Amino acid sequence: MEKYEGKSILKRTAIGKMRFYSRGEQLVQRKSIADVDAELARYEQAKEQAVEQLHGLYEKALKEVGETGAAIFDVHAMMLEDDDLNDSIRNMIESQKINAEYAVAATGDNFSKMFAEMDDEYMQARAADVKDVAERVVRILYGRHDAGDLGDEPVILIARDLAPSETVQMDKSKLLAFVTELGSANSHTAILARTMNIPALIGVPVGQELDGRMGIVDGNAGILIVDPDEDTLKKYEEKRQEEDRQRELLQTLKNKEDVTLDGKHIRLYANIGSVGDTAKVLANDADGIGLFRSEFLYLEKNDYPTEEEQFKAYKAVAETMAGKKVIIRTLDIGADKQVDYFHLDQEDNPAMGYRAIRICLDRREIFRTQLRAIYRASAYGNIAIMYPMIISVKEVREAKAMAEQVRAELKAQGIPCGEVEQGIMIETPASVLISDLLAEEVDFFSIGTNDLTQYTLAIDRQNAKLDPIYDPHHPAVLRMIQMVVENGHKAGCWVGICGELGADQSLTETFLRMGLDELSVTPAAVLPIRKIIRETDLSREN
Amino acid sequence: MVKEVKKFASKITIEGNGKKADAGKLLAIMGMGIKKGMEVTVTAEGADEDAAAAALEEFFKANF
Repeated sequence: MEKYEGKSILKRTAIGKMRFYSRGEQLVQRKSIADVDAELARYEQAKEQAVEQLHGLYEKALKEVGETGAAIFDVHAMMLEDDDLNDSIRNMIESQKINAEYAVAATGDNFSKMFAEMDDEYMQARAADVKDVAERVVRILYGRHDAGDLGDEPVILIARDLAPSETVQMDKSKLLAFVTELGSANSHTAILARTMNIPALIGVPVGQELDGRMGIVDGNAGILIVDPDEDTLKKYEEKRQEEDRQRELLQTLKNKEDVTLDGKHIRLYANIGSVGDTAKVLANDADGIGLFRSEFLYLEKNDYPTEEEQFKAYKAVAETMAGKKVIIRTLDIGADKQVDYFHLDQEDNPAMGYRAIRICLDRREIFRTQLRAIYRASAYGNIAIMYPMIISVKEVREAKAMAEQVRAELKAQGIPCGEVEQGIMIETPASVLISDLLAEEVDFFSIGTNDLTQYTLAIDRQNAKLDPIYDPHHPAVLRMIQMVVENGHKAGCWVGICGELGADQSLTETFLRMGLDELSVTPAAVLPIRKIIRETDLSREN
Repeated sequence: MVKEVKKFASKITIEGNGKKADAGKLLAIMGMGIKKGMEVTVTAEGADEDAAAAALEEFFKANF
């Protein structure tokens, strides 16, 4: 079993036989000719034929991959009709009295070189297009045929490089993936892979010796595995099936409402821990972000993130979500995390120590900076704020007072803010028991079931020895959720869950019956949960 | 854009990124290295220059 690293174009998995493809090399010889007119006529004829071929390829590609993927052939045809290109070729034939093959090849090389020397990656990749177009005409002049036979079964296509004219002729149903040595993220192969939604790797050294052997293209890790052993094969087979399942789900459930058969609506949001995760939220069609863990801005750094840094991150997410809700949780850090510059004391029980809102209300400058960044970003989207680790009404009032102060400050400075709903995490037993009082202070609750379960059952989540008695479905936890929902609703708050329990498919119906307004889950769980919601009928007794 | 330009008899030039080219020449235009957000000037000279200018303005608005 061998592994080769490359750059991934598309994050999917392919498993199959590899087929090595290489175009026969075309040597163009420079020859002197006597009859210039005849040679010019030869060129014109070959050019016409090439343009015809390209129009045919355009039609084929249009059917197979649509307008965007087919456009390239239209552009190739236009390149052949370009005045400068034709002038150059004709001039060479006339003034140097040489054969059309050479004139075309040389002109193609010149223009190709011009593109390769441009400073834009996209334009550099177009150098290959010009070469391909010139080679097509040369091939016609030499009377040679095109390539493109893949065989009977679907294969992973391996080549040093692939030109548009080569890939278009291939039977798409036989293509599992592309692996090439050359090419870029903007090359035709990359564009085609994305259009066809098949995995592709570039920058992998390939050769004839790979032909016919079993391969796995891991588009997520960016590696090619050759002759995989049984275990590896099994692992990737499972991965591939999972990807297929997700894709199917996406097709049927995207843009569908999160509503039960009997008409009860629930908001289905996603949890993220970085700006980059936003893409997953949209890809999985979540209605919003129920938990934006802001810690990533503080972790693995040497110093506090500035207001500007934070503002940029929150703004980016708010804008990308385009009006869908983004709930930002204020910093939830403690002695158990890597933040030397905070200079936190070592603690015996960091889970119950100086952390989260406690740090924020003690070191107000840090809190103020984060609040300013959040409120500034709120002008660019639909942002809500959520305070973690709450145990008292006093804490909430202090946090709200600081938020109010920040809002007033920004207003005085003429910096616009949006409306920002304020909520708290319910993750301590205390907050559950006084949830009726807390509900008067905020707009919403979000239940952090992970920590809530830990504190309620007095079990350390990290202690594997206690796994047998750790019951996330413990009636104590379920009763707490019920209580929080009731108290929240009495005071007009909406109540959601952002902990792992929200994604627990065996509890979705229970949560719906309890009256939860929102579930925020890991992006990959959104569609499976949506499926359950849409198949549930609460009017039936269970 | 080249296709649009070729509909007219007038000589149409495009200027931008410090370069100038015949707007009907695909390779020349590509070689100018004009990117999204850059400013370009389009000039039309000839019998149908008014029609050409109007059509190109529409085209730019719709596509760029």
